[in-house]
Parts: sequence; structure tokens; C-alpha cells
Amino acid sequence: MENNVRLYLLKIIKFNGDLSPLYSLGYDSHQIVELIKTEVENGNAIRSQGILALTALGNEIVKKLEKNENRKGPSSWIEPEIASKIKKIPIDYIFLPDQQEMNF
Amino acid sequence: MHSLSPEILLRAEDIFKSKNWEIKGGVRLNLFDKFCERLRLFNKSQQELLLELTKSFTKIGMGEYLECFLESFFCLPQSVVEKKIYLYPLIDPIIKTSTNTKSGKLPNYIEKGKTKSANFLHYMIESNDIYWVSDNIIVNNSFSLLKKEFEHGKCVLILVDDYVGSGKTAVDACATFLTLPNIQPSDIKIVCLAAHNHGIKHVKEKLGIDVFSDIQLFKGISENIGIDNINIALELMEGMEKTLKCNEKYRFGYEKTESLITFMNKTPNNTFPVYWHETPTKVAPFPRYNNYKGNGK
Repeated sequence: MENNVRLYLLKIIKFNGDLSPLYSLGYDSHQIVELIKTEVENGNAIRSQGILALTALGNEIVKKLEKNENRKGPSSWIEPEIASKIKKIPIDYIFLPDQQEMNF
Repeated sequence: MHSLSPEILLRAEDIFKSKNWEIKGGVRLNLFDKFCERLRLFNKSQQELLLELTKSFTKIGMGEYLECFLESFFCLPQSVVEKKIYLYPLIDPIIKTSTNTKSGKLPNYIEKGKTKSANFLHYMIESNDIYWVSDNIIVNNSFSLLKKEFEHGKCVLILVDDYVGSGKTAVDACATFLTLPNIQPSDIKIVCLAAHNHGIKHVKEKLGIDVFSDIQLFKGISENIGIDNINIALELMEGMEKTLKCNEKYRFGYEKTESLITFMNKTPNNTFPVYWHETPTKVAPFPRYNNYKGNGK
């Protein structure tokens, strides 16, 4: 898993936020469950009486990942919409949108 | 799509684990993924309600289907088992069609109804050794045989089906058998895998026929002791059904049965449509028809 996706997941766990961005990245529910459970097993998150939270270790990892991803100022608390991000294309490349993916 | 939190997702997984339902695997979306796709259509309160209802949801798979049904046979009193048993599927044995003539429409009566789950169950029983129930048992579906051989008081007609919901279908089927002069309501017993409490009462009140079932079901919301505020829960369910644009006829399940059951991935229409209503873009966890094979995204 890429660092930015892991950072996203840990922040979702921290605030019991919305998992939709992970779905947009192509993850299925059973895969997301596995990712969350891995964080719990590694001691980065804890689940007690149905409530999920980040541990001190998990918070440390969030800080470390933010530093690695060069998140400063507002970008440390506003997550980029990575699901909509596309790869940079060369200037002479003719872009043809996928008919299947177009919603109009 | 609404938001889905990690806590709700893990609670859904807890329920699936406790019920031993499929979480991983499968070529297309598996049951857990389909269920979570459905959760994502609703708001947080609705998601909470759906999880609460799913705790009481019964899923009977192919492996347990016949076994569960045979358990219901143990509910029959000894006096029934001692008689000569005719074992028939619980369907109307006659299809009523009509022919146009000069003098108007004339009814035609053809034996045997269309293929239903009752036929399937009847076939499974036919293919298995069930003589442990009684030595004197005839597994058949011929209406004319009953007409010829059935003796009131000495014989018993056991009608089998997997599910009795509102009881309306059962009453209609039994009414045809009762047109035979040699069969009285006391001669008929219905044995099914699962029966709704209201269905059992309806059949008893209408025709005086007993329904025997190993699994007895109650209304999913109105009779659910796990739900504190029933009115709010009913409103939430109404909202979910509006989101799915379910047919008015099936609101809270056919005849408002509020059922929480599925058999071999063919869910009765008495079950809340939130579990089975599907569209090309909205995949259902427990579909009735399996019309849409897409991943629902």
C-alpha cells in the first residue's frame, strides 16, 4: 500500500471518517476490513467495545507519514482527493477518454 | 452514496463472522461486499437499523436446506405419523386456464402447477430415504390419485414447502385440495422449513389447518425485542425503501410480513426488500432473481 493511502486510512480510523475515498481507489469492503485489522494487529489502532481509535503508536506513524509526504500547513489537515488524481501526460499526447468511464 | 465509517464496517464483519457467512472469495463481489454496497446507500441511522435487523436474519444454504426441513417432521404429532401419509408439494394442483368459444370463455383444468420451491423441495424428499418417518408414505403429486384413494380419517395429506409467509398462498393451495369430497381440513397438515407466526395463524383461522415448522419467524421490526423505538425504526425502513424505489406492493415485504429469511439465494418476497431489491446499478446481497450480474458500482 502506498504511503499516501495508508495515511488516508489511519486518518479515517482516527476520526471514524468516511471510507468512500478508499472505495474510489478500487478497494472492496473485505479488503478494507483486512487493512483496518492489520493496523489493529500491528498496534497502530485499538478496538474496544465497538469503538475504533488510533493508539499513540498510530498517531506517531501519522506524524511520520505526514512529514514524509511533506504535508505542512493546511495540507496536513485537508486530505488531497487522491482518487481523482491522474498521472501526468506528455504535452504531445492525444488524450482519448474511455467511453466506459464517461458518465454522460 | 452515503458515507461508511470503519466502525460500521467492522460491526458488519462481526455479524458475518458470527453467522459464518462469506466475507472473502468469489469471482464477482462476494456476499460481504454486496452487503456493504447496500449499507453505503443509506445514512448512519439506517445503517445501524440494517445491522440490527441482520443480526436476526436467517440464511439457509443448499447444504442445510433438506436437513432443516426434515427437522420440521419431528414437530408432527405421533397420531399423524401412524396414518397412511400422502406427501404432496404445497402448490395449487390445478392450473385454471380458459378457452374462447362462441358462447364465451370456458375454463380448462390442467393438473400440476408451475415450478415452485415446493416442487423442488418435494423432489428432494422424493430422492431421499424418508421412510424413517413412516413405512406407509406415498410421495406423489397426482390430484387424481388423491381423488381415487384418499380416505378421510384413515389417511393424512402432508403438504410441503420451504416457507409459509403471509399464509395466503398456502390457503389458496389447500382450498383446491379441499374441493375433493374425501378430504377434510383435519386430514391436511402443512410441514415447512420456516413459517411466519402470522401465516400459521392465518391458515388456522381460514381453513382450520395446522402448520408445522422447525423455524418460527416473527415480524422483523414490529415484533423485535432488540429494537427500542419501533415507530422510528419503521420510519427509517420506509426511508430506505424509498431510496431503493421499491414497489409499493413489497413495502416491509409482501403483505407487510417484515420477514428476515433467505433460502439458497432465492429470497422470499416477504423479506424486507432492502435485502433483495436490485437494479442494474444497485446489487442486492440476497437477490430474488439474480438478474444483474454487475458489480453494482
